[in-house]
Amino acid sequence: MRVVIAEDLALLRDGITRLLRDNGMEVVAAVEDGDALVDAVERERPDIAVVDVRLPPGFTDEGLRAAIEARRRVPGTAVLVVSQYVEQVYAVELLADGQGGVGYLLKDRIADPAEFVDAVRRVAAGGSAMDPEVVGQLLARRGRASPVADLTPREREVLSLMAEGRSNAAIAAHLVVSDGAVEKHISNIFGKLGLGSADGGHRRVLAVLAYLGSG
Amino acid sequence: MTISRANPLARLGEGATYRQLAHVASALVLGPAWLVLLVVGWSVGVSLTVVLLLGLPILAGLAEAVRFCAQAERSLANALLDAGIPRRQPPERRPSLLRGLRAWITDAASWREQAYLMARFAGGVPLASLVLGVIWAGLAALTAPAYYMVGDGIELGIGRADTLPEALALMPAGALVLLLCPWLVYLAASASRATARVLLTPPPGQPAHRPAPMPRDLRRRALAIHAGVVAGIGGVLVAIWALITPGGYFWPAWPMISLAVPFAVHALVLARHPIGTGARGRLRALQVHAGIAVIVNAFLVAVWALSTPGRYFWVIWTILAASLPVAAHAIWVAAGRGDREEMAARIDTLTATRAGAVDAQAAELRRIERDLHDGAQARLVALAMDLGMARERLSDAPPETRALVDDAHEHAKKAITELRDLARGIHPVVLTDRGLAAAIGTLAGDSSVPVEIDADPGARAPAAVEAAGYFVVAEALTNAVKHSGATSVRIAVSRRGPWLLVRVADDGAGGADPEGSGLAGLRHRVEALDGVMTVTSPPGAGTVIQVELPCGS
Repeated sequence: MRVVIAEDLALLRDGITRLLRDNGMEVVAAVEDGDALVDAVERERPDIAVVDVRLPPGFTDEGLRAAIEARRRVPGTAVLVVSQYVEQVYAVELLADGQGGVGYLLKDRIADPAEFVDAVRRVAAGGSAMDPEVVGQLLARRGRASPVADLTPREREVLSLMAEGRSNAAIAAHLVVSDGAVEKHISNIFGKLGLGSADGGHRRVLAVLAYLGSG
Repeated sequence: MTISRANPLARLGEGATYRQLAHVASALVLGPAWLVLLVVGWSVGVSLTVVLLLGLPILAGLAEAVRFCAQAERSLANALLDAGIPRRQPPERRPSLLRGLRAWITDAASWREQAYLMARFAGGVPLASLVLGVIWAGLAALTAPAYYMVGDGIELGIGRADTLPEALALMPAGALVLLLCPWLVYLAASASRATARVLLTPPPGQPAHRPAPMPRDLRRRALAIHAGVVAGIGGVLVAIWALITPGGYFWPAWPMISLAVPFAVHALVLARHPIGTGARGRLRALQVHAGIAVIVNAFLVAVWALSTPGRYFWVIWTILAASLPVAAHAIWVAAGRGDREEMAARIDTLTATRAGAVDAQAAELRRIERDLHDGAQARLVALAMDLGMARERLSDAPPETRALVDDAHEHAKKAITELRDLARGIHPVVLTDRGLAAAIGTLAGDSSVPVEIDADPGARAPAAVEAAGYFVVAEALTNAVKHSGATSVRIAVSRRGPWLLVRVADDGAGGADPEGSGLAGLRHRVEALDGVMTVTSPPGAGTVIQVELPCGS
């Protein structure tokens, strides 16, 4: 798997590079700012770009803008954005194009290498990886008038895990229930939220995220 | 010592009357001496300074001389007039020549001293002549018969006594005049004493703190006004000259000297070393102005006396020309115009410096957040990552070792979380790049209470205003969750003209203390931006915190 990394702090850039190489990925470019990221993506056509939100020169959201621009220029490029803080507006903007292959994680998640590498693989494969904190913010945003308020606590839990990008099996393992029970919860959730058929895979997750991210 | 005013004979017997007379009479000697000192000192000093800079020591010497003479006059006034004027303390340390001169020129008290020395000539000599003349006339009349017997008639100025009866008849008139003389002396001495007290009383000791210097733009404007007045009067004079005596002797040169010298002192010295602000500073500036005008015209009087004595007293025009700016200055000071302008300037300065302080503080907070992000936070993430990788490779290690690494890993992750919350509390980055609505959205997302937000995501306001709004919402949300037990919060952000309105309403217990540390801190923050914060929190009916912040557009 070919990876481009955009991170201005050398310490983290080297760390992430090492982490991904140790896990059998090929880091084809490690750049320091947004313009270089867009160039590298156009040149290298990587499977995934791991991007820090905050890059020079403004140190605000240059990484996010560059990631969205790279996806626009090279459609289908998977993007995993890492950030010191999670901001739901960033998540909503990332999800806005309705395509798969996006992830948005706190930088902290790098501290758990196995999970981080798993998230990189999932996103590169066209899935998604949303930080639990982002999902929490998106759910909270819906307010009391939303159908989300009608979900049972268990259904909310399943919805959160689904939104993080986890598979049915992973959800079942996490909640210590059977796959069938998870399927049942999911169809209940989709019914309550008025979403179309739950046809499995990452499209299901996208539907949930699009629902949470919209208005 | 009280002097009976009713009994002229008692006055005649008072020693005080003769001491007063001595003081009045001393003007005949001292007045011309002071005139010569000042005129020669200034004209030689200034002209040599202009030419060769040699005049500076002469001017410094003049300053010393004036100080010494004024001190002598103080002693004289105290001894003869019971004026009770305190000594003037000499400067604590001897400054350099230029510095000392500058201090002397900008010192209102030194100008008052010079004015007194000039007054001893201009007022004292005529007064002494009058008093001594009257006494002389009285004495002459009283002793007329003796003169008559000694000589053959006597010229009294007021008439001739050619015969003994005539001379005898003058005696009562002389006695009457002499009896009235103590009153005349008393009046003259009172005037002298008052003049001495006004002009010679040294300033009170150095103020504990130097007065604030006059703002630069005010100084410039004062100089510009002065230049305008000088140019206006000069222009009128030239116009009159052109109308009446075109091509003739250019007499406006003399009044112009009288206008130009005070202006030159103002432009060269006072504009750079203002006398100070405040009512006292302005009064001193007026004194210096008047003092310079007096000196210049005394000099011109001397020129007149030396060149065209007894002829047309043209100095009246230079005096008039110098008096107009002084009078305008006096009216300006008396009308308190300076107070208002100074206050307006002060308010402008305070507004600007406060805005600067607020901006500087906001920039400093952004810098601290950025340093944390690039430094400690990045290092902690790298550390946690290394520990995480180490943990995965330690699957075969002894349980104690694994437990240690697990703990270290957890601590590192907790430290990251804590540091993130801290950095976010210092300055939320999303506020800078996405604005208040987005930042409030994140706050609401992290809140354990349902929050409804009504805010325009695209609306932006100045950074300091957005930051204040953000921290108001953050504090209000924290209070709602922690203290009031609210089950829902509504946040509204709207723009009303130039004002940004932020309103946070919860359905909690109410009874919040607007002066509590958290809310008081917010109020200070809002008020530093000229904003208004209101807290409505009746017990049992929820809390509404509303702020209005000016956006300056």
